[in-house]
Amino acid sequence: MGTLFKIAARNVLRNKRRTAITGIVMMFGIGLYIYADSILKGMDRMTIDNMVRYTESFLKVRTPEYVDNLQGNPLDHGIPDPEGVIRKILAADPAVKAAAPRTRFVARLSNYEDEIPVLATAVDPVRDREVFRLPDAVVEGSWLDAAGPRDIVIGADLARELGVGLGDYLLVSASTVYENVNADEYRVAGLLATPDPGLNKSALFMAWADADALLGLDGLVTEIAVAGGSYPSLNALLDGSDRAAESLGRALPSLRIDPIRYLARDYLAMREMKGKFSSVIILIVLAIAGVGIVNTILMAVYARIREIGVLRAYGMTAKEIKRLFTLEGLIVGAVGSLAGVLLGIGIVALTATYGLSFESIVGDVDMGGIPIMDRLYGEWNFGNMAFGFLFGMFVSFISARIPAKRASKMQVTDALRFV
Amino acid sequence: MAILHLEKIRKVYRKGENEVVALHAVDLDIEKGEYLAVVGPSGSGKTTLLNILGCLDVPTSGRVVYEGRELRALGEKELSIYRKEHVSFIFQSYNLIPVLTVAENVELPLVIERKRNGQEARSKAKELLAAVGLSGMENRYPRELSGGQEQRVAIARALVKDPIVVLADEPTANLDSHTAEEIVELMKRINAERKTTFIFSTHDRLVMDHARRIVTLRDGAITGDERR
Ligand SMILES: Nc1ncnc2c1ncn2[C@@H]1O[C@H](COP(=O)(O)OP(=O)(O)O)[C@@H](O)[C@H]1O
Ligand SMILES: [Mg+2]
Repeated sequence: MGTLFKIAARNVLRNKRRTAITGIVMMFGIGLYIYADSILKGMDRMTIDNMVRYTESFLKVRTPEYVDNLQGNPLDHGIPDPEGVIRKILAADPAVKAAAPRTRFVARLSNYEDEIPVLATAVDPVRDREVFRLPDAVVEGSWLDAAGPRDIVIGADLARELGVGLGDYLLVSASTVYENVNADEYRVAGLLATPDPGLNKSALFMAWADADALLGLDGLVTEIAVAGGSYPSLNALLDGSDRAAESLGRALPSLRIDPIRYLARDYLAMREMKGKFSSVIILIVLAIAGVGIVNTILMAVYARIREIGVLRAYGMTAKEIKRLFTLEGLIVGAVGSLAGVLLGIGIVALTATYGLSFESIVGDVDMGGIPIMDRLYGEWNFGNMAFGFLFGMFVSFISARIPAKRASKMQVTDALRFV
Repeated sequence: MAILHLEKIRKVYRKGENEVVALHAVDLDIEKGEYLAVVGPSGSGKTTLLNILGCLDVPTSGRVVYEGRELRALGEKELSIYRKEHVSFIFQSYNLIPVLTVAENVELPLVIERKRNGQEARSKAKELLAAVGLSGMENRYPRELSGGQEQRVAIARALVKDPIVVLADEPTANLDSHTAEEIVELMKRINAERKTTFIFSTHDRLVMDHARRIVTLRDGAITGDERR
């Protein structure tokens, strides 16, 4: 084995160009795979992070009846004793950093000419900013905690559609708790431009006191949004949210606790499809690398037919000959795979640290005219790097065996006669 | 008793419809310790004969008897022992492994045999390199040697496992006449010192003149067998 390895390794070194070409194909294949995977995971991360920051939060506490009737945004099925529940939430799990009560309701927003249905949320302006990043997304004006009574914050696209700006007045009408319609006038105090176009087009935020006056909420809280800590990876975030939801579930058995994995389930299901896409990349590139290895080893076999004859004449078995050439393929594969992983690590390190500007990836996509400030950061995924390496080795092994087998089947006398 | 006994050896190569009779009705006895040249023009069957003697090829018909035992009757394991331990080969174009050093090339048969540890193999290789006059060249690579030196390494490689028979197919054909003589003389000296049986083929008169017995082949048949 030692000598076989010596012969194989030295032959690989000797045929530098051949080794380099195959190795480089493998390197780019595996590097590209790791990079694509990292970017896709980074996009996932960004999307989920945005959901956590702007729309869904780390996990949500609601009543089971409310979730069953979610579509209608009903104003019953509120959480009993919300302040008591919030205290329990904050004490139940160390992963929980903050909690904010919210009540969602459907409203119509009018500039006295046009009327647009919006999804309104009554918030506690101070506690809400501990859970959501909405204040950071206010591009004009200010968030509700700095605003006065009868101020609202709405999506910037919504404001544009209604032709209003900061300080303008809008009429908000909605069904009250008593199921009659009430309406009142509010001043636009802030405009939101978030990464979520849905919010920008149809969201309205109103402080608790105003919503109470408009709808007669009388302390009704339909959901409590909970903030978690920061997590190094998407999977850690999802798992952390699951665990926190579990311990909250024990502390609050009559309520329904939905972790972000559930809240973002539609997106996560779509993500599976993208995962398949990056698998296709690695398959195609490594198929090319595999052909390269078959070719490299086949050339090595033909260049050394007489050597094979000599080894056989001196008693080496067909099996050992096969092992010799398989080993050569594996060495080329190992070099290429390792280089690919290193290349992948390098690019991922760059994109994970500095990020990519989002426009460079999605191009000049119309995001409702709102500049997306986010940079896309690559995600580290060591499992996938190991997979890339092992898959490269596997492809090399399979590819090298084809020509290696041919070498081992050669007749000794024919091999020796070969010129 | 002859160490190798050939009886009515016939070898036919088939190439599609064509049949080439490489050897027909070859009878030959070779004694232990002989220094024998197989001579004849190109295509006369020399290589075929040596391959059959070395068990690299099997005759179409006839018997090869080695030390009283018919090779055809030997099991796979005994055949492999015969190949690994009893016979060695020297080739026209040396056929050293280019990526191995001179010493590693000489050790190779022992490594393949797996009978000796690395240190024993190394010292045995050193001893044989000294015997062929290449002391100090252990760490060179074949490409750094002249043809004559390469063939000496090949001779050392053939002798490292202390074989009973060395089969050399035109060992001097790629060498100039002066170097060719040096090589046959070297083989002859080793034959005298170690009693190793040498069977080599050649069509070079100068080279065959060193042999103690000359077997002449023509069109696959023995036409002369001269001892001196
Ligand atoms: N593998 C083979 N297939 C077909 N014919 C062969 C083969 N090997 C040798 N021969 C033929 O057998 C004859 C003897 O060849 P060979 O033993 O190589 O002679 P020599 O070594 O004396 O030149 C030649 O006619 C050659 O063409
Ligand atoms: Mg020949």
